[in-house]
Amino acid sequence: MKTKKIISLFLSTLLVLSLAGCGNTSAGAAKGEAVSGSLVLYTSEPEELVSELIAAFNREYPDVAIELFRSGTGKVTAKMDAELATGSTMANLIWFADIGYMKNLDEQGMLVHYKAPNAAGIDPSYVYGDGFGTEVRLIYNVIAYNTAEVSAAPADWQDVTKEEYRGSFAIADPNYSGGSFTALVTHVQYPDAVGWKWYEDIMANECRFEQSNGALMTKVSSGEYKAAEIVDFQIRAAKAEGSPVDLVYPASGAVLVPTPLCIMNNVPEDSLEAAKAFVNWCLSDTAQEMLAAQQYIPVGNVAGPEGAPKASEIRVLPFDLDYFTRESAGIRETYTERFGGTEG
Amino acid sequence: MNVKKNKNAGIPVPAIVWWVTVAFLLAAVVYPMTVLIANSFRAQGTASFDNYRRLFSDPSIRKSLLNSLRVVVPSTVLSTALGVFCAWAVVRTNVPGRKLFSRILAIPYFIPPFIGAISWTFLLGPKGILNRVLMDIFRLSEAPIDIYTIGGMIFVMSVYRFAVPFIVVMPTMKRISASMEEAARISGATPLRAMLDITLPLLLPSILGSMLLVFLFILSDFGVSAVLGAPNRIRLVTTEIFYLINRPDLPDHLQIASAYAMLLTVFALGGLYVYRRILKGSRYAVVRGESGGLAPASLPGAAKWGLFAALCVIFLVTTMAPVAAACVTALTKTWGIPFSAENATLANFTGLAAIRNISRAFRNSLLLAFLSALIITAVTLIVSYMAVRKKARGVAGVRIMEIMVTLPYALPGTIIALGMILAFARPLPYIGISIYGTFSILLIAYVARFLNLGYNNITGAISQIDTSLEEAARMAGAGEVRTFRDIVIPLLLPSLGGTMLLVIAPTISEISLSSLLWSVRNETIGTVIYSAMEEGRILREAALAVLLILLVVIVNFAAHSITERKDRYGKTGDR
Repeated sequence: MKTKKIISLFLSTLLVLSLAGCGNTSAGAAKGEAVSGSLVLYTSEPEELVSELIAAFNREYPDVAIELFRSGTGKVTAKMDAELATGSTMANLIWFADIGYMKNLDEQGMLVHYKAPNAAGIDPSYVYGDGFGTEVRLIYNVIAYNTAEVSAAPADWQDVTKEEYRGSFAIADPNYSGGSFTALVTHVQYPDAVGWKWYEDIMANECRFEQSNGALMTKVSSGEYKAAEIVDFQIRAAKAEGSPVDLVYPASGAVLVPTPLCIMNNVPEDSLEAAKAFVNWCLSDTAQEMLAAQQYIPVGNVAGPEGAPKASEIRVLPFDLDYFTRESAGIRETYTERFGGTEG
Repeated sequence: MNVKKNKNAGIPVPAIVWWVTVAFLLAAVVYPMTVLIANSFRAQGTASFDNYRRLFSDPSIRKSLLNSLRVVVPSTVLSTALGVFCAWAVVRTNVPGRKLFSRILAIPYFIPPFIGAISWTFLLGPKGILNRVLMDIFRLSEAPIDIYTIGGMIFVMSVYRFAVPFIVVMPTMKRISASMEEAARISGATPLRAMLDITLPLLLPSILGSMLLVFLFILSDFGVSAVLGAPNRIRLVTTEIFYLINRPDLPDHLQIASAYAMLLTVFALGGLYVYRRILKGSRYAVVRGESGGLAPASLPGAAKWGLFAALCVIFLVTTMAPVAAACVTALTKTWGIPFSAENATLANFTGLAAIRNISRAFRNSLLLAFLSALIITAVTLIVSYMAVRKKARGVAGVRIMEIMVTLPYALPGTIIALGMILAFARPLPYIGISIYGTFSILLIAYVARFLNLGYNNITGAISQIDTSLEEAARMAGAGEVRTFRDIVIPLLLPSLGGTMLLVIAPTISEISLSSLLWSVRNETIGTVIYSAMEEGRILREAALAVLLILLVVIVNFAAHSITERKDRYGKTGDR
């Protein structure tokens, strides 16, 4: 009898399996709003923050259903690449820290160019290419430090190359982290402020590496690292929660990490307006205030997070998409050759 | 011995299961792997060997392979030795608290590798508790232990993975026929001598099987190598593959990653081959009907308490220390400020309720883990029986089955997930249904990846059952199915329970497959933990980890008490 039970269990499991396969439904109740549609967003943004944003969007656009896939930038692009290799991706909207990847998609004609009406009021440099992507909030790579471990706060990139930081300054590995790679390219572009020399110096100073900004933040807070090159909004959030950390926008310039929101051209025709509505809404004051409350520097003209400078007050090493597209492959190669090999 | 001759059997159920499994493996393993392999031979859109050439010319890749060997070999040996020693102590001696030890020493297996590695950085990182204590005692200016090294990885892998041989070997050790060891002991051999000269050789298939499991486990580990290897850029094969996957700028990066993963399969096949060679030609039928398990050896007081102390230390180091570190973190209010009464809170636990979809993630993971465990145990029971008792289509069929079952287990989860996407992103041909982006693809991926746990464990157990029992039943007129039901299954019960547990632990906290294959409504605990980690929410991550560990430990204890109640055979005399 037991064998039969096992068999029937197995068969019923198969049945469950095949039924589960049919359960691919999409939500969305028709309420007769002007804009409706169903979209899938692939992102590397913290899931909670994006969910909050989508929920607020749905209060104004109840008939637009946005589903979410979130993972690290590298995993999101790997998933997209594998999907694209079979013909098409499920993603209709993309939002992660790899503008090179997006530019590449654009060159293959896979992105919808869109200039949101709400973008009229923002710095035009935050709309990329001919509108293939739009920056909806700003994140910068800056220097964060542990306030209990560091007596004098570092003020510029060069400060962390000092002996004091030997073995206790860390960066996210540019070969894992999209943000850190953008920082590398931008750093190299401005040799007077940073350049290759800075990388030589931090390597000589026994720089440490992590795979993600998350791990960096954990270890700067715990004091394992005295300082780190890290994305600004996370540190602001940790500081607000009472962790002994603070950040400085380096005097010679912080690095803007482009994370544009883009619309894929595979978006179903009846959902294109919904996708545009989402991008445009993200630039609205409601959304901008929400993003500021999430510790991001807003791209629009609303008040920023408490104690944070306005975008116009931050000295940045200007991001240059043409330079990035032209030079990034070579810089990656040089970096990997000089500093990127595996140790052991 | 032949299915067809047996008139009572009616429908040849085992044969159906065998062929259904073959069909499943063809679809879920062979097909995606073929796509991956085909892919690994494509560079710049044309067929070529470039990706493989790159493997051998890239110094970074060579180095990572070497690093992997430097970690995998010692930690496989260490964890097997430690696991077998612990199993021996709790089964074969009268060490105090042995029943409790038999459960709690299995806990490390239930701690997800990521969590375990992070917990160890709390203990042995530059600012870790243990390092601080050592610095205080010896008045050192620098942390004496550096865990971000090859040695650190070997240590952490061993203290986690010893639980695998422990779980696998324990049931067989309980089942082993007492007569020979009794004879040795009557002739004056000490319990340890009897263990080394008699029991150990008899246990060889089981030990080697578990060693192969540990070897593959550590080879395909990502959590420990990612967490401990990152700061000093020590990459192993899996982290190097992940590194390649993370480089969309590199032409054909997914193809190169696939090619590298294929190299891992060579190691897996090598391990399998060595395992087969050692076992070849030897009969290790040690579980007979006539004599139950052996009463545990009575050790003299000093040895007994010495052993007790050793087990306590092992438990403290491998389990208590990292779990306590995770608990303290989970109870911390503000990260970065030393833990104290003022800096303690339950908010990290209560706050979990506010996270969207968290209960669904728990439900999904529990369901996935239980379904995978049930399917894997049921299927591998029948398939292993046919494989071991040569009822399958000849030896070649068994070999092929073995390879199909082993390979997915040896590959990094991310690569399996990529293969699944390549194979299933489009709707299935003919039926037109798409399983991609549903719960089913996760279940299929889990079953395919972890089938080996069942196959390995159960074939090991079956090959130790003497055929005389089944022959006797057959002679007494019992049919194939009846013999299987009344003789084989009861003898295998502990191993079946063990298999369920072996599968539940890695599936409930699975990260690498899920983080590419999950979709809305199908999130898992692993994806939530992974996100928390990437977002630097260490307190939440710790709270989730503590809940998860609690959950699997409860499942573990519950499963143990169920198997033991049903376990009417081979009493060891202590119940």
